[in-house]
Amino acid sequence: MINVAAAVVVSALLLFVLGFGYGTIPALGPALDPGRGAWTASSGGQPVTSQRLTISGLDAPVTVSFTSQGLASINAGSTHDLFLALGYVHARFRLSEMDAERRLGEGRLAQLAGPSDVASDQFELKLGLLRTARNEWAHTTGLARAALLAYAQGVNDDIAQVRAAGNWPALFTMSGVYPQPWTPVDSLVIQGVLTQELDYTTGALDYAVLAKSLGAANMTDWFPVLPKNAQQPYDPGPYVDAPLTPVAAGFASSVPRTSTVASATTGTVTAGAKSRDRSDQSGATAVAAASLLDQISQLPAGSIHHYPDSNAWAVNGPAVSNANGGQELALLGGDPHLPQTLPSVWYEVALSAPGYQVAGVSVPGLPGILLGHNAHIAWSLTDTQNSATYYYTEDVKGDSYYTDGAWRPLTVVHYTIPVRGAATQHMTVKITAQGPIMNQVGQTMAVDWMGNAPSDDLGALLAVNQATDFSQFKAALAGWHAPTQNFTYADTAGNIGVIAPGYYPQVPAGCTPWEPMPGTGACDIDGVIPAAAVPQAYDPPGHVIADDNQRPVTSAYPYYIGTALDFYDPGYRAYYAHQALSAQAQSPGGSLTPASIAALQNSVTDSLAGRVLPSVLSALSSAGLSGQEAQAAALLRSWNDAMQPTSAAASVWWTFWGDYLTTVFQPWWVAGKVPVGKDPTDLKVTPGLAPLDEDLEAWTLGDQSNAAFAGPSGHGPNTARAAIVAAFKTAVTHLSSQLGGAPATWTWGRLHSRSFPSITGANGLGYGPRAAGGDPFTEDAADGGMDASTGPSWRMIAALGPDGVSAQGVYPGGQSENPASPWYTNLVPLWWDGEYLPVPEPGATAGPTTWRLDG
Amino acid sequence: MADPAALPVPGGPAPGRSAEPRPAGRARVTHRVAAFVVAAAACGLLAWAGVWFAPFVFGVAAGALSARGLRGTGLRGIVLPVAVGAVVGWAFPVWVLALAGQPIGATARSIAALAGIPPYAGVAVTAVLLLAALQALCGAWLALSVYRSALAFGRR
Repeated sequence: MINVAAAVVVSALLLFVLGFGYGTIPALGPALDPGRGAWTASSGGQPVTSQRLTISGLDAPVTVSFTSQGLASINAGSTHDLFLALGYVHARFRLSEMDAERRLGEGRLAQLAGPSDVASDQFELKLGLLRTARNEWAHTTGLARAALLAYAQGVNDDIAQVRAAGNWPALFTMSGVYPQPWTPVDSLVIQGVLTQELDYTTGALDYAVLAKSLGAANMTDWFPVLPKNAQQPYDPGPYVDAPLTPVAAGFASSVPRTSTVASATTGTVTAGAKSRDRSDQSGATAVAAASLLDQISQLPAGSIHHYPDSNAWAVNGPAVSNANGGQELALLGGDPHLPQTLPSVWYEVALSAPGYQVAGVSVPGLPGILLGHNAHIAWSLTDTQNSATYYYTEDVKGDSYYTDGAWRPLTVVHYTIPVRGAATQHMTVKITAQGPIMNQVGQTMAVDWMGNAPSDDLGALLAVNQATDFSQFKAALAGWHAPTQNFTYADTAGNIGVIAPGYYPQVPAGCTPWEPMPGTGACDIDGVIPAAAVPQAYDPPGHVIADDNQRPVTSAYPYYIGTALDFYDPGYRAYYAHQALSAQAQSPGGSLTPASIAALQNSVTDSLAGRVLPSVLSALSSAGLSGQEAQAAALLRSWNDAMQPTSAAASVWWTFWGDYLTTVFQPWWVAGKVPVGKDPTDLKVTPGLAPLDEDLEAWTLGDQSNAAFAGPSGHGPNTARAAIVAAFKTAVTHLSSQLGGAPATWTWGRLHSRSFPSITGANGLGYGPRAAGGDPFTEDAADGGMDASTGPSWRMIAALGPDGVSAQGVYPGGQSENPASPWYTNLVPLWWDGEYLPVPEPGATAGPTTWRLDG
Repeated sequence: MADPAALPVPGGPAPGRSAEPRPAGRARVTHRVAAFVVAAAACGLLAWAGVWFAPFVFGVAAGALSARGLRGTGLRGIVLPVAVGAVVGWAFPVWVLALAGQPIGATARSIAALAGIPPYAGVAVTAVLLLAALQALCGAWLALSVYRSALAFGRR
């Protein structure tokens, strides 16, 4: 009987686990079934061949052609058919990616991945990308609405074909969770995910935590509104000082159009709430901020904005026209630096329909071209980095909160979170006039995030795609509210420009938006910077626009746009690019060609090293150095500031700079007990904390006896020179223990690499790590740690002149998300070697492989 | 896993039955080949139909036949050929895909990676084929155990 019982139990367990899965173990029976399971994904990995396909919804046949590298060109008889075909093509090559992205934004990731992603789902449902997307869809009209509907049809055509054939991408068969039909709201959620990744920041929370630990005086000094170092803003003024553009109350609160509003009372504030002790409040705010940071640290990598690393430059003038015999009047280079993943966030394509001809990179999940060119203009984007995430501490009692002198009902929304392998979770989101409540530990905290303001980004983008000059370009962007982006521009008439549209929220005087503010109503957003006054430039006399995430305006700018803690780049890339381009643009015999832009995009020169090393070497010259230290110093003396993987000096420099920051600031962090673990990326003393780089650079160059050098005990190095010597010796010790005793062998490539991880997180589906050059301060930026995974996600160069626009580009990855496809990583070697491919021309056949899509 | 002690002695009498004459060598081979071919063909074809549990069903059938002690149906006579047939049957659709030029090796690597096991094609292929064998052997164990238990109950 025991044998029977054992056989029955084992058989039942085996069949149950294989048939239904257990916990996060998928149902392996159907998943691994060799006839119907994940093996069938191999069909999507085959080389693409010419074929005729029938998909529903088309009004007329559409042609899709591919280059041998997979770059696509779609030619249709109408924009309806064009966007439908784009949705189909996106889904054919990126369905898993699209589904994962919408799941991220809609709080449905745990349904796919299990309990580990419940925290992400809770965060997203609280923040409200889905609520905002639904609100946006309700107001979407015109071409954007038609495009979203057609696009969704195209995606669903592919889903229907895959469902009929049973050859799902392996992610679905292995998880047993299959995609639901695509809707326009899904596309708007993906727009929201991008907005979040570029625009949602924790600067105010970090400020609150740091202020409690370091004290107000140090915060004011070390994390000022304006950076301490010399920078190169692209908009030097003069500035428009116009009245704020008013916004409706709660315009970014993400309150859904239909929601459950809890009953509540209106009354007077309680004495306790009114007379709250200031120091208690500060302490509670720091606790709440730390709690929220803790939650955010559990989000998938790249979910919120951290690294300021994009480049976009435009040049015109004689240096361009003379170099090319008048055939080119302007050049534009753009390389947005984002998490580098496989598959990429981008899909390269040319789109052609009557009245709509555009090429560049699209975002799977969205119709249109985000960065690219048409027959008249080219454009690229960088993140503006302005403060767009305001936090408010709220007085909440039951289902009411106190604001504007009265208790008001919270908006309440109920959600369920399906969890793969675990019980479904339920959660309630409460929303104030300021925005959704994100945290109730220590203190109730709501967030007023501009990404929750309904924004007709798609309408703006489609209008940009069709613009023919700068005035149309600016007009097209009038409806763009978030994320604030620097749109760098060039046209065939030889004009260049940049404008940073979007909501720059303003609060009444006396309020402090760089830290959590009271939700009493006194510090509510009372308007945004008027469109005419946002940072911008057009045909600057120097013929150069260098837009690299630096603070775009000078101290004379009349509006608040954020502090040094708002991830503005410390300005090294902008300075270097401006110097390099200006040197040619402003010299009589100057010459600027696409090759000049390519060289700059691939440059690994660290301009901070160029600024600071003379002072460093001066300090070291009078220090007593050991033989090994002297060898390391000699490496720096003969170095050209290039972070090449073969450079030993690069290792010495970067290790030194990190140790220099630590030598000066870490004692303060330790004394103040900064809770670094709550948000290591933004609280730890590293070169990634831009204000500290700016401070230390400024002190090293001009304030060598700053009080910070003395440390909290007063017994620190006291001067920059002493700190430099101490840090240098520490760096040599670090390198010696890590790489051996011979400084000449300490090459940067032994310390530093790049990786392009799979979006699934699965080991073996990514690329790298591979020894690589660059650092966060170089044009070819490498961010995210010593194994960098954030950097140039797309490099484009456009040459514009009387003959039109010719563009070349490349991104690290491939057009297909299928790891078995020859187009999965085929573009990586080109990207790595700094090479480019021609961007397919709109309306032309891209290559020999062609699909004919029939309705 | 099946308890080896619960399985019939290879080539010996089925549990609870007296020894029967062993089939002639040629017939034995025929039985085994037939069991193998039927299992392989059926498991392969049913895999295309999404019947992923076919190896288990054929394991149960093999176990039942083996338990009844029909000529040539001992462990080596039918259970092992069916198990091997199930493995081959499951390999067949993958082989067909490979013959059609589909990138099976890379797909296997992806499957392994997504499954959280070492991302090598051989690991995924081996794991899948073992799953077929495991099902077949588990099914046979179940049938044999139930049959022996029923027989013992009947004797009482």
